[in-house]
Amino acid sequence: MGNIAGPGSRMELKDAMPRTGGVMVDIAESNLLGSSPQFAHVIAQIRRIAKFDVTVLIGGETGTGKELGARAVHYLSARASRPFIAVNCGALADSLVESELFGHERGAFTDARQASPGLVSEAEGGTLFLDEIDTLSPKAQASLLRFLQDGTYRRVGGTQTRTTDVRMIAASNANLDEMVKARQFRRDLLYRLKVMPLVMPPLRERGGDVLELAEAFLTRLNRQYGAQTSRKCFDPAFLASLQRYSWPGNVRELEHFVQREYLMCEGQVILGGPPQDLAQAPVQAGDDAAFKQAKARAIADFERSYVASAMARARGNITQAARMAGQDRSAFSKLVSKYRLASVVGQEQDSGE
Amino acid sequence: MCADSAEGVQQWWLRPAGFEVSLDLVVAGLRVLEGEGVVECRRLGTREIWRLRRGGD
Repeated sequence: MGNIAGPGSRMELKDAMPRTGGVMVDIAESNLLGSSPQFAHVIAQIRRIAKFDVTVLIGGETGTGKELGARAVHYLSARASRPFIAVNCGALADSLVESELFGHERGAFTDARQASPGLVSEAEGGTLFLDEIDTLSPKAQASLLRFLQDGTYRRVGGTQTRTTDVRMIAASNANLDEMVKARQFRRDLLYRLKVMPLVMPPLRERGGDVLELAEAFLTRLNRQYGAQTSRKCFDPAFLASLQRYSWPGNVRELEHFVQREYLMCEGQVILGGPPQDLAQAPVQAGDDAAFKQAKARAIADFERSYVASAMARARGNITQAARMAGQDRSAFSKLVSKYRLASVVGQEQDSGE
Repeated sequence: MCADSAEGVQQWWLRPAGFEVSLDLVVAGLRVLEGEGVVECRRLGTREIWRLRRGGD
């Protein structure tokens, strides 16, 4: 654990804790990565929103960083030294949403052996982040609306009306306006949540941020794994391939992709082709260049799929996979390297032969 | 008075302070500090929230 768990770690952890007053000047810059005009606009919005203690509704596709945006609002606000409590509404059992949010008294229901304060109380003074707000049941929506209207709530099974000081940030990748039209989401709740709307843009609309983010993720990986592996860098062709891809899974997909390529890369240069893009332009007849590109892509897709299948059946053993494919081991090994399909297990098995 | 998940600790407490460590290491470090009575873990719904142990300093 290095610095964190070693002697003196308590002081270091305490020192690292967020506080107001401008001590940690890079708190936003170190997490909000990207300099495209689209993302710069979002950062400016976040900084502005953070100043005002109002409810925020964050939209955006999956993987765009809605929770990151919520934390940025919290840690740039006057509530930074108070709790940030994130809740995935979709992961809460429908029958327990109210007791999870607002707590319950002892004996309120069968399993309530002791009283629980609830998430709203845990977030006292800070921020409560409700992700996947669209999954709340009508009953839970009504309870949340009541709380947003006057800041009061009652524990399940309780009679005492309680108050708390919490900033609410909600997020959803669903179209809540459409859900209101379909009577699946309360209009009055949407208006209460939408005091400050914030939309995280998809990565495909953020231009050069793809490369900036990839480099930032690589820098972090080099720091995290520097003691275990050699420092790595990207091959220019690899970077070019990142820009050609549409990243339907957005920043999360890019981060996981870079991490996977980093951990699977044995050398110092991360090579390889682009991920298969589902958003490729259709090939136009009569275009020789397009035909050649499409043919090369089809061959590459077939090779990758065939080699991956053979490697899986051979449990990562290159020699056995080559034999099954009726290929020379050396030639097959080159294909494995080309498509970066060798697993650590496979290499270990092969080296032991 | 602050509290956050391990991801929040990693990204918003440690990273701005210059500590770039993996999430696994952050969790391991928090567990050590929990054992030493420095921090406490609260299980809220499906998540674990970490904060300085209240009344334990």
